[in-house]
Amino acid sequence: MFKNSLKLGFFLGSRQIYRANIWTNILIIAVMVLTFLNLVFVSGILLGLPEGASRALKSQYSGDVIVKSLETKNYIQKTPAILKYLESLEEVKDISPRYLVGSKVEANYRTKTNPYDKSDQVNATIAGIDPIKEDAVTKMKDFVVDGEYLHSTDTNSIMVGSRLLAKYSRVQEPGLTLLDNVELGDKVRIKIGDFSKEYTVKAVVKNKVELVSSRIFMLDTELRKILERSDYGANEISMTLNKGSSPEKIVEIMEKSPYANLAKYQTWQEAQGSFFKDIQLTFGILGNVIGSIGLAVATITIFIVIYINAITRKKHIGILKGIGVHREAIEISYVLQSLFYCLTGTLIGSIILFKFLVPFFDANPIDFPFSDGILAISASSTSIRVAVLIFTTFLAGYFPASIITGKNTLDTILDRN
Amino acid sequence: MIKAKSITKTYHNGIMETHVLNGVDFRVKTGDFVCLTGKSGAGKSTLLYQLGLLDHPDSGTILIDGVDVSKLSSKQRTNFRLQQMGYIFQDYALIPDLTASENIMVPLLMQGYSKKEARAKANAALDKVGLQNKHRNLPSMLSGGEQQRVAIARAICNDPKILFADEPTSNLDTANAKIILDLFKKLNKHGQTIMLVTHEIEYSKYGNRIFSMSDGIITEL
Repeated sequence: MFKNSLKLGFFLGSRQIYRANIWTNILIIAVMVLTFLNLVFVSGILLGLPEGASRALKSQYSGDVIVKSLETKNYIQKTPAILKYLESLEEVKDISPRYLVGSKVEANYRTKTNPYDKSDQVNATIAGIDPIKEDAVTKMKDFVVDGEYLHSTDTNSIMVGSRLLAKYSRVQEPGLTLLDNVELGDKVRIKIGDFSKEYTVKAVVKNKVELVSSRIFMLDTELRKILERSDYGANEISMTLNKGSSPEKIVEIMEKSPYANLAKYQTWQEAQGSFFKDIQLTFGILGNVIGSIGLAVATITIFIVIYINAITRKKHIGILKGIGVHREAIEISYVLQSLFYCLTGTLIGSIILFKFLVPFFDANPIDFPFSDGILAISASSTSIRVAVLIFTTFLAGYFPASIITGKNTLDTILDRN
Repeated sequence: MIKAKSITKTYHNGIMETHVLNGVDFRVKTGDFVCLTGKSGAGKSTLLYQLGLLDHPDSGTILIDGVDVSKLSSKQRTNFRLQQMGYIFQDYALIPDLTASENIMVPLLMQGYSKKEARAKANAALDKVGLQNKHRNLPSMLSGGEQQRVAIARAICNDPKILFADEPTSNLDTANAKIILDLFKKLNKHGQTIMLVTHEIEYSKYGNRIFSMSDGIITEL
């Protein structure tokens, strides 16, 4: 008999939907579309903040794999041999070794008239780079917001990270000193130990990775000379891999290589540690809380819609029961309606989300201070939310129908309360 | 076919009690066309609801083809109505979202007929009540008389043992009422047992047995 109820339930439900007022259907489906978007979009934006920051750190700093010096060493031993070995791996696409050293950067010293005035000086890490190799790995050229990217002949020029310049800082952070009145073409003095030399500011580099935008970049040849590092020992090596290659595999290869004990090999995820994962988890919980409110609103909406629908058809429900239709068949017809609204809303919402919103935010990320906000939405997390939405919609369709069909048959036929 | 014994029914409205059926004894034989008349509030419809398993009497027994229906569960009563009974209500009681044909298909699908079979049977039933060209019409596109004929087609489509009709002509003009009553007469001639409730005395002449109800007591005229 349940099979017959199912068949009749589909028959009744499909016709109720088909012959319902088109605007009522559109309105209910619109509510479901917005509910679905609220459920997925809000958490997607929240997760997109750390996800965007994580992606930026990968693409603008670490690459797919990063090699760092051991904690006990000042720099990576046998760097040329390691670079050669890495270049021999077919998975490795581009490699950029960096030479790092702490420094003091002083500006406006030429205009200082009183020797007792505090000098305009900041502490910064100097990164010696090969401009072509660095751009191949991190697309640094794209992040030059002022001036021109370093050329391999720019021995006396530097690029300054925007976080070192007052001009590019939105707020003055307590305890952080910034260089004031530094423009392109200005001279700044760089002090590394006893070494001191004037360099011309050729460009300003600005991105969302603090580690990068608080550095000063000069040619690797120049910095090696200053550091008298004749063995070419780099401090970090970032690399990108060919599409489809696994960073874990490269790390594994390097850890089994003769150079295993000379450096620390990390995938981009390992290099980021647990910070972004923790933030994502936190934002995920926040997204779920907000999404749950949306889900509750949708459930109540569907419940009200189905309840009003059922209560206005109370007499017809009574008649159906009167002529021998089982209550399950009537309940199925209402559950089918609520599922139809839910699935149609979800389908339209998914099309809007995956065909328009996700590509749009990928192409035009929201400019948050520490991250390019994207929509971090995965098929698996969306599927879970859709399943929850379907389940709650099922209940929201079933209960009101069950309340009405549970009433005395004669009372419903005669429209008695 | 139907044996009702000592049926009582009282409605309660706060402290008010209305004794609608006062120990009704009643029998219907197969092939009867029973007309039940009486003034408004006499208890005609209430008796019909008890016999048609839409309501439970407070006391008494009802046997239909030897089955004590008062002992049936709610689900069994629904099945009994589906398999054995046909209903025609005063206000047509069609489902507005369904076409004439689809309204008739409902009990047939519930009985397990395939959609194709149900549609064929529904259309045949519509043909039987003279609505050959109205299969696809929604109730709103039919006149009152036509809607009632669809209701009759729905009630007879599964060849019920007994057809219950509760004031089926009260919303119709005389011409349409005559069409409906002639249809009942025709069905009865083909062996259909009918129990018709009407407050119009002149319509009761269509039946072969006429009962009158007054103050919850039934009398055969």
